Amino acid sequence: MLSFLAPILIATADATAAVEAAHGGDTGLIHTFGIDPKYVIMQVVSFLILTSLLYKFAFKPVLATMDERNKKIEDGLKYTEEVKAKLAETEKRQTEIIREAQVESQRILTEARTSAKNLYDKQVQEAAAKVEDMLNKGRQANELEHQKLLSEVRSEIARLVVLTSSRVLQKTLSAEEKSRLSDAAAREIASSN
Amino acid sequence: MSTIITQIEQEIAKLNTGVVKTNTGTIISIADGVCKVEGLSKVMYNEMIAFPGGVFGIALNLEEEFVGAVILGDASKLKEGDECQTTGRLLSVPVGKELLGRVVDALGQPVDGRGPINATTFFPVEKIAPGIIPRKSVTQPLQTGIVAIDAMIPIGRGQRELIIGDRQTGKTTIAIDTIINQARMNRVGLASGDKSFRPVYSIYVAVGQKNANVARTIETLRKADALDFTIIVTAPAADNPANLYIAPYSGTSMGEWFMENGMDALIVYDDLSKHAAAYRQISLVLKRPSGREAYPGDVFYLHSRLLERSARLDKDFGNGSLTALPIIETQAGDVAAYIPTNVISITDGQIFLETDLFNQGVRPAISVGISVSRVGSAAQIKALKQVAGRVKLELAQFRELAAFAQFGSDLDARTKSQLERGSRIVEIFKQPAAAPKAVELQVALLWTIQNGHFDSIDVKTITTATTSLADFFTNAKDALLTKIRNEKAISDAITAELKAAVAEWKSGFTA
Amino acid sequence: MHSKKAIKQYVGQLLSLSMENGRVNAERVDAVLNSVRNHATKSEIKPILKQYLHVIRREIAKTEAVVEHVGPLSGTSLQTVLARLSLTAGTTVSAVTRENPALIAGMRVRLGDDVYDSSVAGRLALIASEVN
Repeated sequence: MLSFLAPILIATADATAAVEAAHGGDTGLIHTFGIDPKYVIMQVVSFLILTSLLYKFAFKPVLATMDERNKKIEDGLKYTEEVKAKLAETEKRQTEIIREAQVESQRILTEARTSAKNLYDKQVQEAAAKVEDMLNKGRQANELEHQKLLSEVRSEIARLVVLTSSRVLQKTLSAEEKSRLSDAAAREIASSN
Repeated sequence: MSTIITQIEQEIAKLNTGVVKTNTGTIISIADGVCKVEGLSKVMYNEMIAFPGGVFGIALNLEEEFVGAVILGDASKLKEGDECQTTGRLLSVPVGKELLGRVVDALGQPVDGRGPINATTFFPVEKIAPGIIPRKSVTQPLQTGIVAIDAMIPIGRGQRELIIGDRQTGKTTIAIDTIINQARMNRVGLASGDKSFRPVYSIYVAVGQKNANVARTIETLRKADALDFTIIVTAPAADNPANLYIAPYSGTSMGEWFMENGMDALIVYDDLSKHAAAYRQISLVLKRPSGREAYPGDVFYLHSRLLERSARLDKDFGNGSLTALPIIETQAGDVAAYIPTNVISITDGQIFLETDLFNQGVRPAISVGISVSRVGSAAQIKALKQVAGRVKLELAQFRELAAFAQFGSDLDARTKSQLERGSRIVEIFKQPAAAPKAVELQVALLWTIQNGHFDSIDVKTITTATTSLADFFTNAKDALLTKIRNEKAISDAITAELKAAVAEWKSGFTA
Repeated sequence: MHSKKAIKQYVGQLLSLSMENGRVNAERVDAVLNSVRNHATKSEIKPILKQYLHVIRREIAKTEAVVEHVGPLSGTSLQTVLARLSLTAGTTVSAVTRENPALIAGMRVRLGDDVYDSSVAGRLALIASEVN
């Protein structure tokens, strides 16, 4: 830090020497200007002391603060750069995610639509089958009822036929016929195995 | 009207108007649906005897002096001195697809009021079981739709699997669920147009049950749309003991028709204890010597000849099968009684139901420890084998640990995890009645639990979670289920899809 | 000889003593009855005779045809029927004829447990049962 004081001191010494040289050793000139080496030295000494004190208590902290500020500013700039980069990246990712979400939602939608359609189709089919089934069952029941009726009628007719024929035969058969039938029956029995 | 007349004319024309020769006898005593007949010198064993009024009987005891016969149907109009005659026919019942969807009695006559059955084929009620040559070992699965059974006690086509347990333990429910599942699978399979699909026709034989119970069962089947693939043979408790005795054999004849014509059939006998009791009654009234628990000496043969008729036939004999699910009711869990031990030894395994489990809410109340299927995993599809192979062992270990853990306070982490897994498996096996699960869904659910995806779910909410997951699979992942059903095995691709599906379900599931 | 079984066995022996050429012989029956009367104790005699009557009746029914008919029956047709029945029975068959108007017409023959029906009533009944 003394480096910048050196030229001052040198300049001061030069000036003194120049003054002395101009006067050619004429101390009178020095006196005219009131220059007294004693004071000069004292001044120099006090100046030096002041300089050193200033240096120690004023310059050093100021410089340190300046350095710090410099660094802070530099850091701030760097951080801004980073933030900018990050921001860009985030934006990129965001769009990506949105795109993906859209695709996914589209997929789910399609899936839901197809499964809903399948379910609907299935249910429609089932309902149709059920209706068909019910119709068939109704038809079958009708048919069965009809069959039942027919068979009842049949047996009733058969019963009546048998009853009538037996009554009629009993009354109308003559003795000869009966005898003939008996003989025929006897022959049948004889020829049976 | 004219058709009726022509029909009658045809009938008359068909008649043989020659001499009718009959062998007759006279009733000398009649009581409790059993009569002694003098005469009938040419009667055969098990031949049908015609009594007046269209009532038939079967000759069971051929003795020197008389013939002992059981009467099928209403015996109240018969009296001592009535004349009866031999028919030359063995007792036979109508068989064929015409019977599907119908309710018939022990003689195959309709009792559902839906008109006559136009069956063209008749099979004798008593028939000798297929021999060794026509048989084939059981390899095709018969899925009951009950996860616990399909995973641990698999049943194959042609197998005889006994369902045994006390009253009110859900024996009939298991059988009915199986019938419902067959109908469901038939519908799916026939709709898919797969040529190799083999439908299973069911026959439900109700022996000695209350009419109300039979009606409820029919209603359950009708509601589940399963009646179209089912024949119901009913001999209710109010019927003659002879009808109760004959009904299982009649049902088996109907099933044999399917088997002999290259189809698959399932027959449920509900239940054989009442059948044995009816036979005991007949035997005692016929004064046959009685043995243990007053059952006659041939009560083992009664059931063995019945159950031996269920078989899987070889390709050269049509490749058909008849699977039997006999039901036996025990008294206070006593499986060592006479009839239970007999039937256990005849069948190829048993499903044992426990009252305690039933009351704890474990339904179906299957006691895994003593339930077995002697056919084993030969009758399981590969996918189910892959996921259920270890379940039975794990569950058995869990039961042991659970009993042990009741005393212990501090358990090590391994034991704890085993207990946790076990209690989750127990939960997943709980299933309501008349809700059979498709095998592909069973595979998916068992895969989920086996791979620890249920571990994070609280045990109390497992049932809800299972229902939710099942709904998710059937509604949203139908394609995956179809894939499992068609491939019948869990490939790496399916594993990945299952993983993704379960993750998707889990993200949306809140208990 | 108190058990039923023993009585039956004894009566069986008596029956075989009463037969001749596959038919019950009246003289032999007389002899058998005499011997029973002389040998059997009082308590035994009733059940033995009851059982004996029963088996003799059954045995007679095997060789004695009951011919039911309507109207007059010619001797020749009866003979043809009896000849035919004798052939099946393996022994000569006698006949008891009985008029039965319920048959309407024709003939019904009963021999032992076997019934040969060639009557109009029987045919009508058959038609009725078949048509149902």
